[in-house]
Amino acid sequence: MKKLIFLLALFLTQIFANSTIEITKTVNKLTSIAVENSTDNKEYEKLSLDFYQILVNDLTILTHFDVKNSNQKSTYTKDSSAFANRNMDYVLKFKLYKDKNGNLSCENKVINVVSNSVKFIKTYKIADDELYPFLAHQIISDVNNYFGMAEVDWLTKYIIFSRYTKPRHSEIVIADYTLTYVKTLVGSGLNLFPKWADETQKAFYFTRYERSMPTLYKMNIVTGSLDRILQTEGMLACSDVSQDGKKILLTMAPYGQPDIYLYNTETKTKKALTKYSGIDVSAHFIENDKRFTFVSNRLGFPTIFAKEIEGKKRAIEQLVYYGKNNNSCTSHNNYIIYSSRETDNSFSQNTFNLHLISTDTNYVRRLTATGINQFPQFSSDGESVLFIKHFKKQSSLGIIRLNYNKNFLFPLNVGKIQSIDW
Amino acid sequence: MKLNIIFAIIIFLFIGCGENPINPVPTFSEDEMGITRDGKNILDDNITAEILENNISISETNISAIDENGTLIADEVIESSSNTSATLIEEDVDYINTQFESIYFDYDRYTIKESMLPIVTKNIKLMNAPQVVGNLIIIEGNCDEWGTDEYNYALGLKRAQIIKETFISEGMNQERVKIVTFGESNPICLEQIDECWAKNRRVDFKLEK
Repeated sequence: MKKLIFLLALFLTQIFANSTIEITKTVNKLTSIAVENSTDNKEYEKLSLDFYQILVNDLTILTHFDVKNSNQKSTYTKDSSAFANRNMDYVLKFKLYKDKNGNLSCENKVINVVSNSVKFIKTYKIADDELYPFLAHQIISDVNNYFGMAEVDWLTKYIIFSRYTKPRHSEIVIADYTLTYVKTLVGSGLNLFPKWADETQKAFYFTRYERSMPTLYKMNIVTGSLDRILQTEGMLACSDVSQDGKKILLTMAPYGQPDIYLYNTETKTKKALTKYSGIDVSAHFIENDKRFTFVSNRLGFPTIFAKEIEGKKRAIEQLVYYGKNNNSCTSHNNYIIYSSRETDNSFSQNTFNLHLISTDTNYVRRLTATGINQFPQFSSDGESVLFIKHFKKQSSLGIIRLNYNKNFLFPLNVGKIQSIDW
Repeated sequence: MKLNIIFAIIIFLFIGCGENPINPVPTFSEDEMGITRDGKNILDDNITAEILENNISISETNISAIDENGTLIADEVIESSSNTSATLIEEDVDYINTQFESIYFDYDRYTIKESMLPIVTKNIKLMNAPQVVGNLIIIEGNCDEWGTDEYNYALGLKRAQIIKETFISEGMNQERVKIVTFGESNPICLEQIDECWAKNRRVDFKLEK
């Protein structure tokens, strides 16, 4: 009978697992791991130090390991399982070198300290040294998969964002998630609201101002081609893309009223989804693209609402009843994260915090506690959240690992961010 | 001395990005031993979508002053050499644009404050001066840095829209007025103080050249 109750409890726990429920205590001992740098090429000596740090940071963010950060040097022999850290469960050794074609290469292996055996060995090459952060992220992603952990595809994904360079000027930039690799894609003029066109990250939408006329473009970063999608007076922003990439949610204002529109990229037709005399913006698909959330000031202050895309229901549902100014949100399936102003002061003493809600429950989970936290974005698997934090004159890029109740911050030195997607 | 002005503006605008293709983004391809990045670095060339403008215009008058009522006064005449048409020269438009006064708004609001109404009236008089009634007017909505991305751009647009509606109610041809929002991208004050943020919550006016 006890076994039956236990199994039933386990079953229900799995069925009703909900990210809005906060994990408050972890009792499991984490597997310990150390990274050892075996690079002996003097040309790559400095690069290997940066490479080492990215590997350590990535392992730490996985939250599956207790990572030792000592930058231990050791020799690397291909068939040997020699290592320096004797008190660890595992050791990850890497060696950067230049191959015969002049490409940056990396040999690495994971050694089980207890059994003194090599468990994982791979060699990587990359054509451009500047892209080394992606090489490091790929190694950790593969190590993660080797240990059978939940996939962390977001580790190797590009981040795309718009940053202000001077008044009325902003550029669109791609980067790795730590912002170690940063490359400008679109410069000059005012370029806003970049949004990946689909999960392959080969193209993105963005808005560009052409003689004061917002114009929506789709840019393919593989071929460099640029498609002009729409142009309208007033305002134009691509807020979200459907899972199949065939539909996009736009904020448009052809008559001076910012409303939500659905644009079909195949038929090139658009349809107004809201019609309100105030402000409706920032729409995101939810519930398998059948509904969408959006920010509206129809209650006198910005907060989050939801509506069906198709169907006869015209009712608009208020999703958030907490906070005085909820002006940005992101969604993944049934989960929604929004930024909320928590204090009464208009300005300097304000705190903007991120909150997670589910369309299935009324529970609200606060994800941040201090500072101004904005631009929340779910990872593609929905298990992590990217955001920007401003606190005590320092800006940082934050990663929240929802299922592990962990937050990580990376100091940000890229200027003022207008909009971000990953 | 006042003269009628004929405006002729031809604008050529194009984006020249096709000649600067971006190199392919390298993709991972897995072999027996591991993963190789093939292809060269991506994104060597910035997409610099340049906008070329070519204003063809002949000037007959140089407007250099505006009286107390907001009426333009032309005090100098420049004869056109080969064409009988005339227009405001670019410097004149720049000068007139400096005479418009911004309209300021409260935090997260897009209603016109009573204290701003005289400024609205003054701007309308200036825009209705005979010398500039042929010029398009661009109303630019702006915000402070609080709030985020899309909402701020929408808020700036609503501020521009309410001014446009006021202009139309005062008899201005709506075809003459364009609105645009710059959200928080166009601050005129960068200090982190309330007085500074208040200056950024504004609507500006420009005559289109």
